[in-house]
Amino acid sequence: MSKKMPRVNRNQKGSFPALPVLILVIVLGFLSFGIAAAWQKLSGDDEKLPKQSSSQSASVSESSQPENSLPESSISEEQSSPQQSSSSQAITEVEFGVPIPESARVRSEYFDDAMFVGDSITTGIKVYDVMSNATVIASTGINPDTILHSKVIKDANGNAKTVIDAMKDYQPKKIYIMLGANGVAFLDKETMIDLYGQFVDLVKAQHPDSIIYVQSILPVTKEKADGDSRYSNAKIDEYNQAIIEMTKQKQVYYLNVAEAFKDENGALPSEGSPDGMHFNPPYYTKWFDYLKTHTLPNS
Amino acid sequence: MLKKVLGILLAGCMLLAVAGCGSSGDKNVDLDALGATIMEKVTFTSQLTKLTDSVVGSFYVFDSADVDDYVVYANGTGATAEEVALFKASSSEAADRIYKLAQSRIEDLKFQFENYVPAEMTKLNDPVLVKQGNYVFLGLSNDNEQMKKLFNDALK
Repeated sequence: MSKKMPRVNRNQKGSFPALPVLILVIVLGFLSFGIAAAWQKLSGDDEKLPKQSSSQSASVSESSQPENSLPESSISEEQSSPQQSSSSQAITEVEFGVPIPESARVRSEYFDDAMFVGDSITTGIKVYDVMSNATVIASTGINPDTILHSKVIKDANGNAKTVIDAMKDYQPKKIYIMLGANGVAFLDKETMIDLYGQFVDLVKAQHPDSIIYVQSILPVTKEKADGDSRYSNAKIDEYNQAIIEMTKQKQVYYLNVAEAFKDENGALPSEGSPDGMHFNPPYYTKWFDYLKTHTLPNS
Repeated sequence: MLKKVLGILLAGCMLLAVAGCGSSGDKNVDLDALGATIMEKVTFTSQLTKLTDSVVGSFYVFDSADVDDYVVYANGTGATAEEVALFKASSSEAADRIYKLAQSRIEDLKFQFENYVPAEMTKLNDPVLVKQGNYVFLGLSNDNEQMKKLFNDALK
């Protein structure tokens, strides 16, 4: 006959203080959450804070990760960022007239409320479906002169508009401009800067609350530069220096995208470009890798 | 007597049906397959990409009710003006409108490339633009002979 094991009543009162322990766990849980939220707010981690304002475009195609969007007046606030990638240093201030430094990598959702404006190179963002959540207003062949007056963008009814008129229908939080590839060959530096500056003024007036990033003119291949002195990369660098000065004067930001493209010769790698200037989809990936790691703090 | 009448009526209906099929002139063209064949057999100088709907819509601003099917390949980034646009319109009137859009697209490209890459004007001044039945095909390349042949073979 087997011996019956005595039954132990684990529910006897007084044997284990379940309620106080439960209360303690809940209190500690709330305390931890509060500390974590405060820490993350101070560190300015864009990817983890809950969404504070809704400004997403209707063309979202990425997963719905939260995105933080603070007013532009916070652009120079100090922050420490222990959660940034180890390759970037903490950004304390961003100045006009200095290229945007490397920053914590943002997700593709960052471009939900971004607009890209430019020429054929920018058109490629749409054609190659690189960032379908962003708005692209671009036209092949446009240059700093023609962008001011040529009606090259067709609306949904087929009516042609200038670029600035087409931009009026949108309220982007960030505007990325890239001009000058068409123009560097036939516009002298002063004329290009004057025209480019006029366009930037129009954009600022129309979108006073948007962050405006002016992107560098990109390099051409060594073969193109060697074959046509109008496109020398040294000349492009010189024009870019003048563009930096223009951005300082206009108080908009400058992105030195060119550095993501240059090889050891300071040129666009030949294998990436069939014609020396336009490039294939892998280079659009490089472009956006650069943009994702060069943003304004808390933008 | 009734059987004879019914027989005549049925024969008449079949005759009309066959006549109707014969007069439509619209062969059913698989635009995806034609596009793939064109990409394979026509010589292009640049890489063409099959455009997404939104890009097609910005290059050819058509009313969605006018188009049953389309396939567009383009360089699109400005390196060249090479492009292949294949449309099946919903009616012959719609095909007229699509044809005009294709002409308008050529003019847009001419405007873009005239001072930008003047060498592209050669193909823009000699496009292969075909309208037959409800189909409108546009081909921009330096290989017009092959482009015309493929268009014609598809529409035979």
